[in-house]
Amino acid sequence: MAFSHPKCSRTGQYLPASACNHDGRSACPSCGGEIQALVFPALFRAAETSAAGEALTQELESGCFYHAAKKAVRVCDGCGVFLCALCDVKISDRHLCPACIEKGRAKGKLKELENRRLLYDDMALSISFLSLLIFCLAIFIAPVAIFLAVRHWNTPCSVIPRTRARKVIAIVLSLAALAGWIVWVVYLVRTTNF
Amino acid sequence: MPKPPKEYQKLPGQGTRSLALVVSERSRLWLATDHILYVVNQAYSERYRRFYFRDIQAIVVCKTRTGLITNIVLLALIGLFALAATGFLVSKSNDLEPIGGVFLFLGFILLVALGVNLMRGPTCVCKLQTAVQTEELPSLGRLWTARKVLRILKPKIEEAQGVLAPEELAARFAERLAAGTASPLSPKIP
Repeated sequence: MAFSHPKCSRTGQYLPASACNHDGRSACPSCGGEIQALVFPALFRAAETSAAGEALTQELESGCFYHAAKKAVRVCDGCGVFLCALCDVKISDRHLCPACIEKGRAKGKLKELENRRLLYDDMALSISFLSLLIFCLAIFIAPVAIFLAVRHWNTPCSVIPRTRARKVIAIVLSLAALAGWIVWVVYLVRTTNF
Repeated sequence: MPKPPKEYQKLPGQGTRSLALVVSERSRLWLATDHILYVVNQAYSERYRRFYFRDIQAIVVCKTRTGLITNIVLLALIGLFALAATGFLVSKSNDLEPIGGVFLFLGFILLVALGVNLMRGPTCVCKLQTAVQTEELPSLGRLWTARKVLRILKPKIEEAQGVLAPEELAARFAERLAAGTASPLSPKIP
């Protein structure tokens, strides 16, 4: 990828070196606005290219599990198979094979590859509040909140660690809504003259 | 037994994106040992982007006029509502006094909004550049917050990549331009 100068966030004009890496404030040469631009050595680093893997030259050398003719340079930290330079993928501090990466991604075991999660605890909490607001329908709405909270009790809801407080509050509020609804129905039945 | 260190540390600032006056997205930044986690909260789901310290090429913060324009508009509205309230309240009609009260109340709400906007400080746009993308960070939409976060991030990134002095930066820019591998600078820049 071609080297790209950092740009002014407002106008999109490229910034010269004189406007970057100052401890104080600078003025953007194009718009005159106050800017602070930090540039790091990664801007000038050449893009890393993956190695193709060396061919086996000696009989006693181990070959890659996926490419038998290529020399193995590493062991997969997930399943233990031998990997050539092409198959070796570094994720955080671990070296994994493509199969382990796919399995880890599908089962949600590789947090580094996760880019989306559903928040079942927030859903359960919102539905429990709804059951209190639309009180006459609490008999239908509250069980949904309880089901969500209980069904996903052990499901990690966010990459940022959270307690189960939302799920507990959702269950408590839903039970309160259900209890209130039952009391209300009993009161209605007793006071209604048939 | 000492508690294990937290995996993520919350960074200052919270961004919101609105669609038709309804908040549709909230974003926050979290700091890990080797990356920044950008979390966007949409309804009942979260999306994540990770920016590893070794990959961050540049962070640019530019002050904008949005905050100033908002202050001017709020001041103008407060003035209008105050005038209207005064007009209705000093009139001798009992029917118009409640309307004056409503304008006074609305003016007070706007005054509080103005105070909050002033306290939060000037607005800015912050963009983070890597080799494959330039991402705007809405949670750093206030200049004071953005500067605070940059003060936290700068040593972490420099620890991962090393320090780039201004003189070295100028030399490298010139080298890239001379080699023809750099994007051309705008003709407006001297």
